[in-house]
Amino acid sequence: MPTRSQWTLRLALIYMLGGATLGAMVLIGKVHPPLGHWMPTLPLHIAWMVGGGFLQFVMGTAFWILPKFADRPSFYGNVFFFDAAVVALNAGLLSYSLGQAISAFTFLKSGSGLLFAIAMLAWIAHIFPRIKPFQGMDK
Amino acid sequence: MPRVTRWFLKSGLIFLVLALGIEVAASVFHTGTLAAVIGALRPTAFHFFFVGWMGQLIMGVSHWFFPRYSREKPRGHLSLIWGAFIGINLGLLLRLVSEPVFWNAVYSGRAAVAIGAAGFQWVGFFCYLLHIWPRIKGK
Repeated sequence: MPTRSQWTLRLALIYMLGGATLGAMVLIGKVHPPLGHWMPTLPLHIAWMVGGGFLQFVMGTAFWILPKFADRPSFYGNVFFFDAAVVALNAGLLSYSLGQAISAFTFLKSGSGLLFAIAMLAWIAHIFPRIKPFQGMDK
Repeated sequence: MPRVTRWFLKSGLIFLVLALGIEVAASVFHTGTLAAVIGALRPTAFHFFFVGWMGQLIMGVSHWFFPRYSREKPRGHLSLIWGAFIGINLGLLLRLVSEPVFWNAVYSGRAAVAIGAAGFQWVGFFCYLLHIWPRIKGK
């Protein structure tokens, strides 16, 4: 497993556990009013689980497992786009989280949307050429 | 394919069907008691899709494909991944009978069941993290 996948997958697992913790607190808050103040963290729970956890896990695994380029200097294709996608996704999650948690940083939430869009476009630019037959199995 | 992976995938498919069933019903019934009941089930359907289907797909396949833990224990500590399977599935089923507010009218133990649902799902994710983290490595 390449180093880039390892870091991406570890980040995904951390987000997944953080998201699951928020989700548990939100669910308990629904039935236990003293913990009702966790309810506003619902958007964070969704962002951490879906974007930070599941999506990032898929990105890291696909980088590792999809067909590579044995005849090119860069075995994994254009890794700049992959790095840009991971950095933009995590910067977007961080700014969204700060904007959601701290009222003074609400303006960061609008910037996070742009970062998510950059992350997805960079991810598509990286992965699109790797959706191809495994070399030696073209026929 | 390892046994626990088969269980994850089959259970995931069942949750996918349940989630789609609730969403289809929600699009068919717009008024009346049945529509209210289905509407209350939609957050549960959302979790059936993302945790029950996507989460279990990720857990099952990564347990199958990721680099081996050691020569003696290629897939690591199986008790942890079975703990993840039981935690996620039991948590989701408890959620079905606890989260929708209409259960308040049916039985009084809803709060305890909801807390159990939250706890089991969290333990499921934590067991998965403990299981898969050491298998995120080069070889």
